[in-house]
Amino acid sequence: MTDALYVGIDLGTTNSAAAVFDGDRVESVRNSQGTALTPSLVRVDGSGRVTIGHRARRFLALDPTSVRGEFKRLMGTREQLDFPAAGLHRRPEELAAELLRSLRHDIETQIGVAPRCAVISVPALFELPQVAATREAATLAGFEVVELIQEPVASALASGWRADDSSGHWMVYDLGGGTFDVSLLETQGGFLNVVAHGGDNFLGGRDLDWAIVDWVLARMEAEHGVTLSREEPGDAPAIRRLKSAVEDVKIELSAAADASLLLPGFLPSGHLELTVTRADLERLCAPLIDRTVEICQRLLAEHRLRPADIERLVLVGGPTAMPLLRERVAARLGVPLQRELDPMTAVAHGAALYAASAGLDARPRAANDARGPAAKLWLRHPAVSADLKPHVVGKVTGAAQQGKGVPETIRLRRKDGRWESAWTDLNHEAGFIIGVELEPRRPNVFEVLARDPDGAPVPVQPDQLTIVQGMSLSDPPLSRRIGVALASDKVQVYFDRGEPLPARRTFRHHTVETVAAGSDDCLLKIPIVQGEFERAHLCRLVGTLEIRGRELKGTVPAGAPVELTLELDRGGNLSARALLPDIDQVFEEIAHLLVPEASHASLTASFSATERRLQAMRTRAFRGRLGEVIEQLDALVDTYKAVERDIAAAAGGDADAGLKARRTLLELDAQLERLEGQVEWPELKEEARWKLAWSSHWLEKYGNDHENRLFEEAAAGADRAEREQDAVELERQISMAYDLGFNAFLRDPEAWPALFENAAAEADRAHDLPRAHALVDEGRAAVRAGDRRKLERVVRKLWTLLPAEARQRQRAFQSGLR
Amino acid sequence: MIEAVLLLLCVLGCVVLTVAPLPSPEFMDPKSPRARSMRVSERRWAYTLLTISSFLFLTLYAYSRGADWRAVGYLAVMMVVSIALIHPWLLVRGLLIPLGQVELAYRLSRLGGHPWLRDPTGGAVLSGALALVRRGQHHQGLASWLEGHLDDGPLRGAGVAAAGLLAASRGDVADARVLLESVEALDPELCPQAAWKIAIDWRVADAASRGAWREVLQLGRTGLKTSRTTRLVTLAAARMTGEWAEDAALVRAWLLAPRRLGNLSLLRLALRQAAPSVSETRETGDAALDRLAVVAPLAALDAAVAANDGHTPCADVVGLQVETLAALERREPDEQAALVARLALAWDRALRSNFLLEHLSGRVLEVRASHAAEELRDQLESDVAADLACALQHHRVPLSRLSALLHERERPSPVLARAIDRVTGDLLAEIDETAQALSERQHRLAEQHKRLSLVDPDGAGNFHSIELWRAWLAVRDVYEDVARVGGEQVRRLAFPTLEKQLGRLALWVWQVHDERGFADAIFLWLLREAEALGNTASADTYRHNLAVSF
Amino acid sequence: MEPPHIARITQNPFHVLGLRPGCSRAELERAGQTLLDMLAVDMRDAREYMTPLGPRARTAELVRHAMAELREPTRRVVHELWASRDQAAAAPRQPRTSPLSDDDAERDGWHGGFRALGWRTP
Repeated sequence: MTDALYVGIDLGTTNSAAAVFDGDRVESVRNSQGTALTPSLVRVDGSGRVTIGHRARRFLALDPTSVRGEFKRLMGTREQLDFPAAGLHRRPEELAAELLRSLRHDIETQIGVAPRCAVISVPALFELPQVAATREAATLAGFEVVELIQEPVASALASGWRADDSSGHWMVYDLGGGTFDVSLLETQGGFLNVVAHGGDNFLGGRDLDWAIVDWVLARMEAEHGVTLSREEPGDAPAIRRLKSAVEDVKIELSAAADASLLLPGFLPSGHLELTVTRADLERLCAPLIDRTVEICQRLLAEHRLRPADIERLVLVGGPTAMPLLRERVAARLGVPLQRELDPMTAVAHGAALYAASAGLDARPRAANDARGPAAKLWLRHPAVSADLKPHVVGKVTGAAQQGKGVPETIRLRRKDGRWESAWTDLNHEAGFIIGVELEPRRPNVFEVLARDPDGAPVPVQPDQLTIVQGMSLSDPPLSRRIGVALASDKVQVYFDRGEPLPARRTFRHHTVETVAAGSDDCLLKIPIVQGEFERAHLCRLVGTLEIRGRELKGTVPAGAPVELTLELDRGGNLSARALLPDIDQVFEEIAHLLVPEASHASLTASFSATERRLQAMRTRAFRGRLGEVIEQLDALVDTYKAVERDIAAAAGGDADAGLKARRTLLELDAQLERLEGQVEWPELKEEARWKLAWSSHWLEKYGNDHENRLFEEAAAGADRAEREQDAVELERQISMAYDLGFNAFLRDPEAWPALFENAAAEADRAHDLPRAHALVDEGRAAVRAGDRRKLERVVRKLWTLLPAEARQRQRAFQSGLR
Repeated sequence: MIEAVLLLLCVLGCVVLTVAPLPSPEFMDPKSPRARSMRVSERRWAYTLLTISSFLFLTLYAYSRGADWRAVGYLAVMMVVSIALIHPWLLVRGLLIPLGQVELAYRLSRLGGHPWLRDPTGGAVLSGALALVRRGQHHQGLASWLEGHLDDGPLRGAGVAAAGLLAASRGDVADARVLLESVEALDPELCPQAAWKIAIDWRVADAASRGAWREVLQLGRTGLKTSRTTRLVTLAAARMTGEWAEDAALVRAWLLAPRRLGNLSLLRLALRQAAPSVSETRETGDAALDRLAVVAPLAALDAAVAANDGHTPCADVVGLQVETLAALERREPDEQAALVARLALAWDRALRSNFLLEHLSGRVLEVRASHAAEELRDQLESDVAADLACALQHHRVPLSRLSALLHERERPSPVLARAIDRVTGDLLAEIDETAQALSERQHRLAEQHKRLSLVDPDGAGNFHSIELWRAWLAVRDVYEDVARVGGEQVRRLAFPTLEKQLGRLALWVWQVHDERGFADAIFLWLLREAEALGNTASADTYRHNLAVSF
Repeated sequence: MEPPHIARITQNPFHVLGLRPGCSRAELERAGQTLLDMLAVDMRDAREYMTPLGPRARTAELVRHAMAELREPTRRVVHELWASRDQAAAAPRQPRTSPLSDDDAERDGWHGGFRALGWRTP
């Protein structure tokens, strides 16, 4: 055992837990009720007094408006949670801080000191604003140093810690209260490697609960004629009470074949009493469980793994305690389950183990404990090592004082006396590197010995170090890709998923617009986005670096280089630095953004837009007889209906459902965009065909040799682009061919009158209507008079008044970079 | 009697000059700004003539009446003051600019007159800017004040030169260079010659300070009449670049130019240059051999790649890549193209080899990689193409030179073709995005203008033409660079995109903001480009637009 | 900042970590961890590494990234191909004498030219 203590906390949507690791054993922290799980509930009563966990849960039925839970899913948003009895509003971070403070107190009671540092787990798919909110909550709770680890990685560490056979692929299926994460991991020689993540930020045990609640509501309406709606804010307290009862029934059904749902005084006519069978539960939960299994299968397919390649499946999270879920997941995936791990506390245990890997000793920092005239050493070594022969690196930073000698050689001796290093001379920088040998699967304590040039012992500080041998994960991996949105709506990826933190990366971009020095109107925007989508506008905007003309030392012309560096620290804090080499100026101020609010109006508008898009796509797909696309569009209908339900629930005050709807709408948009590509390609080919034929016709009639040669080149280019399925290139080549054909067409005597009629028909869309109408009148007169030159002038002027093309850059968060 | 006849003739001449119609309405639209400025110019010269002739008449008259020298003196003072009011430049240049009197220089120049007849607003700002750069230190307040006055009238040559000098004054040399160079893009009729000369003078000073003597030579030989200072620096540049100028010519130019003391260092620097000798231009043996090795070896390189050591499938080609990357840094574009082509051919060979595929298959099994060997090879090929494209882009190697090299070979290089496609795509995207950004900027300004005109129909101002001028110059520069690298094909594909946006911009500044000079500059550039690309329809349109504007 | 085509060579994980392409996973972790520790205690020996294009500065971020790249089997195989050249042998030669270029001719600027010609030096 070592002197160090490492603390890990699982801050869950429904329940939270803490664990402590002493270098040898991991133990769950018991709360004042003597249990390892603390419900993630906070109550603020009329006098403003805060109660947490089980004590808050007791008031859920009596005083539902003063108890708030599931705030984890709202972290990083602008959402405020109300406590009407106390007349207070609290941000989700503040409620999380209350919960963490309570857990910190429980830890203090168990280990005797208030922990200074801790590792807190977060869902793998948390985005930067949510990560930042979690850190803020920890700081508010009194932790000085906090590191975050993704829940599946923590589960894997807990599961793999000192496992005998430590090679192969695993899958961690983590279904929490509000999120679902699945991770594919690989261990090789004791080293843990996170291969990939998948999941759904808005799918969790609570969705199983809601499915049952909806079913109960439907039965209530059918059997008792009582209607309660999730869309009605007035029904919210009753719904909350019902949901709590449903959770109990769900737990009861884990052991029994049926259970009774009894809510005294719930109905105007009296009690609500219903019998729920396991078959009912299975029927209601099956679609959601199947969705999680599909995500797992997709992840396996993406990495070309078959279920048989997976050695074990680790189930983590409260809902996975349901036998129904365990059986269905194991059966559908066909992977053996690892049963010995407690799914409720595994994440906290893993977080504590990770705290050891990261060297985050929770004990208060000792006061300056220099013991007498000892030489000071600066030692670096892994706190936990899978390697049996790691290196210890050190440097003498302060020689022993009062002529007590300067260390010249160093030796490390394992405390069990069964291994010691050779005496190693300090190098020219007074440094040393010594390879040590570890006893497997236990803490190894080493004494540090030093001698001066005369061979006399020199006291050193510190004089011992500890390395725990076991599975290690040295750096926290990034959960979601981070990049910069470009003007083309593409994303320049800076950090991919799994990138070890801290990380820093620099790329050279170029501006697309001139930013004049001293100008208030000019602005260079550098949007930083997070997400896996290829199109920037589908990713989450997590920060923006803005460079204003008035801050510039010199004008930055379009095409000027910008060297942008993004940096993420271990906790996922983002910083950005833009260097404009031409004027040698650096900008660093970054505006961090919150998860955007999902207001009902904006959700409804987005929903309608998506609906229209879906309809338009369907029509196009039918017209093009694209059976495959029609099938895929049909498959989107379920998702689409789910969004509709969530928007309705959001209107009833369920902010979380609003966020979920927003996210799903984005995903729907992404899918539609992909399908649009499939629809557009045949259309583009068709367009290419007729445009080339049309141009060829007019060029034959009126084209000169030079134009015909250029047309042939363009046609060949279009042919090549079609073969290579390069839509952009094909569009460009047809446009060129079409321009040539159009120019030839203009030589036809009937060309300008025809063009005039077309432009006149569009005149109502002009941005200067009076002028456009005056021009149309002028044009009509010219047609009558047969004045072709005048007609040409009129048409050209009309063209300038018609609206410009859709603007792409607006979509890419107005990025000023390419 | 004679005096009266003389005076009468003068007055008549002036009246004729003032009221006479312009050369021909066919030739010039009488309502166009150019016609208006010509009219103003004629009036000014008429007033000048009238003032001088009045002075002469009154002097003769006074003498004939026996007046003494004092009366003549008074008359002379009155004449000088009158001429100064008609053409304040004399006073501004001689007194206010050297004293750094920015506001006064601006306000007095605002009265108009020579040499700012073609751009009175810009000329006044330019006078102020000249005074500002004569001050010991930059004064931001005054600079902003002057910049604000640029919006008082349409943007023309003197205004652009003034904006350039203001940029130079605040230390933004790059912006100053771009703006002062852009004076040439304007129609000479809208650019006072003095502004043009001032721009050339500054650019010559800038180029000479950087030691860009060839640039000085180009500037000094534009064919137009340059200042005495520019003539001296041009002669010095001829010496510095190895072209020759006689000592006597140099000394004569130095004596004729102002600021002889300051220019003495330049004279010494130029006189120190020895006459060009043959030995300096000869290559060292090593370099000559190397040059041959680069240009000739397309046939020989297969042997080099074939001589693989049998252990690591890409060892030699990676080695060649390392050498190539190091060599690219110090080569001419022709050689760079040859080096990249040689490397691409080497990669083609390596990527096609069975040895690579066997090696990858073995390693994939050993490390339990999730991808097949073929996929890894494809990824490697894609990486190689990306690197070559990046190297070509980084060194801005003209693609036409590569294409020429490839056509010499019987077998095409898939890697190089892929790299060229990539560069082409990037270059076209560069144009698309830049043009799109310009279009959005115009759209923003149009919206802003529309909003403002609702509030204040007269002053819907707040249109900073100089900022938009900068934006268009930058877009033009991006296009020209892309055209240089991408060659004829890319130029032809890129032009329609840019043409559409720039044409729209030109029409908007012309029709909405009456910025004919600005619009003309764009049309002129578009016309030249359309002609160069043989796009007759576009060329006709721009010719027509320019004629209308003229 | 190095452009990507140069960084492909100079930031090859094997060069950054000073390892041979055939190294084992344990060697990789040990070398990476040791380098990170050496950089943390500011040891001069760790601050620079050799690449075929000459020495480069080593940072903790580069080491971490290199370790992550080599842990992933597919990416590792590709990096092996790019590292298959003796690092020191390919170090660039000294630049040779080349004919007088425009840049060379431009080396002699007229310092103080702005002031002499009546302009304020920007």
